[in-house]
Amino acid sequence: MGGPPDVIVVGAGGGGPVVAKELAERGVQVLMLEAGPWFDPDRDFTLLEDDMFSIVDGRFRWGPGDRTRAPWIRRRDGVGLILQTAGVGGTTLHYNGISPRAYPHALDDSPLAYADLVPYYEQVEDFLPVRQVDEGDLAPKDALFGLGCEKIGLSHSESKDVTSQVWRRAHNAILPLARMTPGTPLTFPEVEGCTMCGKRLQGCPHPAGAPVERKAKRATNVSYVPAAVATGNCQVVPNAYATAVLFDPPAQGDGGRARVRGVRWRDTVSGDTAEAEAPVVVLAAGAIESPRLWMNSGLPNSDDVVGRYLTTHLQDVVTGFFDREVHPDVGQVTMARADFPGWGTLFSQGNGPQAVAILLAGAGSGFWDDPTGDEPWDFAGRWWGPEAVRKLREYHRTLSVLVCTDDEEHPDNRVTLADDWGADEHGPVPKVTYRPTARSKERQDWLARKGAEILRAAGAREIHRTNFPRALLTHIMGTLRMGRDPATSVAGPDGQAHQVAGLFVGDSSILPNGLGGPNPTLTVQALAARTAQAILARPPS
Amino acid sequence: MPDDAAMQIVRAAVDAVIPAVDGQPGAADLDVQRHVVEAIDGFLPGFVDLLTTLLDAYAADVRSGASFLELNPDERRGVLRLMSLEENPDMRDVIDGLLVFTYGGMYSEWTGYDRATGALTAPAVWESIGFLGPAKGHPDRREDL
Repeated sequence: MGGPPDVIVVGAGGGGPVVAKELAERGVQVLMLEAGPWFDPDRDFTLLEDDMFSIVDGRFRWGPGDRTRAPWIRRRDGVGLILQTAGVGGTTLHYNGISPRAYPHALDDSPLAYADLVPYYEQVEDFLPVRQVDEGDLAPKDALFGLGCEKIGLSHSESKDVTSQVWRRAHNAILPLARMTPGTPLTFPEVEGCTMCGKRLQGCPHPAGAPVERKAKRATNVSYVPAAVATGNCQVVPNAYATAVLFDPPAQGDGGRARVRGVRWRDTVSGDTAEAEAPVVVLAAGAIESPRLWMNSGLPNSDDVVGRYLTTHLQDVVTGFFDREVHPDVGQVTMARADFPGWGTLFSQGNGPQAVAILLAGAGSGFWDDPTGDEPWDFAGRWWGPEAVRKLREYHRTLSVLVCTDDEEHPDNRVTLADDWGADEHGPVPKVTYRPTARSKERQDWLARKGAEILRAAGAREIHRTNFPRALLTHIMGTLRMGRDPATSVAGPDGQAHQVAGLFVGDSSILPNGLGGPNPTLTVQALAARTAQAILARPPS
Repeated sequence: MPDDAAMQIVRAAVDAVIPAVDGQPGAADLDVQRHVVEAIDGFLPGFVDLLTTLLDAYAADVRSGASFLELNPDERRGVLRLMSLEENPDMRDVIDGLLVFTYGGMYSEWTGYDRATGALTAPAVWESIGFLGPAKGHPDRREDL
């Protein structure tokens, strides 16, 4: 970087690097802070579920890079597991790479029209790139999912703009499948593209030996981050946990708004604090940490909107047991999906043994021997003992379907500060509160039944529903949401905070709602690209 | 780390979740209770004591006057069932922690992996469930609709 920063980006996850790259390419000096470490995929990604993904001491946990130290804790109310990753790449390090657009209808009441977002979708899709899985390239689990969809009357679509019920081979931010012949080493440059290893929760290092630009899953650590750094105008500081946004109170001529002037952070390795000043700050630390940082900084929040309207897609899982090999450990984790605007989405979900065991037996609500009444699944909830052990031996014949609900935004679902807990080394810790509305629960149940219908049509002999008793948070959205009315939103359509000049939002907290149910990362990235444009268009300070 | 008496209780609970079946070692045989204790202590500090206390308390509901260690395996599973019905968030965290970390310890690589050296001996359970193991890829496994 050639001088003091013009812009400080807090967080190098799904959205922050998009802002950084778009600005740095145009000569803006960007300082990007990331709370976690900067991994080397070839060196650090072992493909092992506990080593990589343990919430306590896995590399991809929410915690400091030194795994001998405790993870960073949140207080949870109505929330079970929160799956976020600290590290350059953020939660894209473990995401499936699934990159659908929002359902257009979901933006009807938002300040941004879907049509206005399309050019930014195209920009991100072109860069990553995002590609639809080719016909003939489906893994067995996904072919089975597609078969089930066809049998219940869903037709296949290749469109990215979904307005009716369809199934689709997935649009993923994953390079095309490698053309592999038996005996060819699965290393670069002998193979290029995705090798169907089935491990994304544990990170994608494939093809082994490939430069970051040719790693198959286009997490931001191998796409937007290196592109930003290559401009020479972006400095990335890992292990840097932002603890305060520095700002000046409202002054004459600012329309009653405070004005941002920099960021203070703590080095998670040394414990030292540092500060940098800049006229623009972009919050991109995720929908829990961004509002936490806002509140810990004492930034204006006169309408008490910050942290509210959390949506999560109220996720659940239904799993089919088949009399044939399915192999949930083979393929891109998700290569097929079904779309139900107005309800949400379903997609095939490959998993390793730990994840499947937990979903089938360790995490649900109720017990396997509970009667299921008229529901289309045969058993639900959790179990243990010899019967569970024998059932889990059918792992290789299971297909799990993930439910992502179009859950309603509600102001009482929110991130606040846990005032009755002690602070950690970065300040008061977040408290995450979520309870589904009745309509959200109705939609989730409908989707679970639809997922069971697809599995049965595909030939499942038995079906299990996990039925999480508390929300699983992987898609975390809406807590600094976009809107025109400051009484019910935090940022305007250009991504700038209503009450703080120079403060922008570049992560999933800006989403106005749950987008109808589809995976949010592509929309976050499109909005981040748009917000970068708004930053560029600002008058010089 | 908890004392020996507490570890015995956790071991018994882990054995109730995943016992030895059809000649295959159970989770307690593979020391998964150590993983459970380390994980709960790391994620929910202080909750190992809560777990062992609750296991004994609920044991008395299953058989009057009995401790958890005095119960037979089926009775111990009955204790887990009672605990799973509780709505209190801390109770949920305790039972969730026991189950998630027992299944995680048994079905992940934990029983066969040395993080310090990177040496992996594939857990026997992987073969029993048909898991193909961590792999660079699966070139031959496409399928047409």
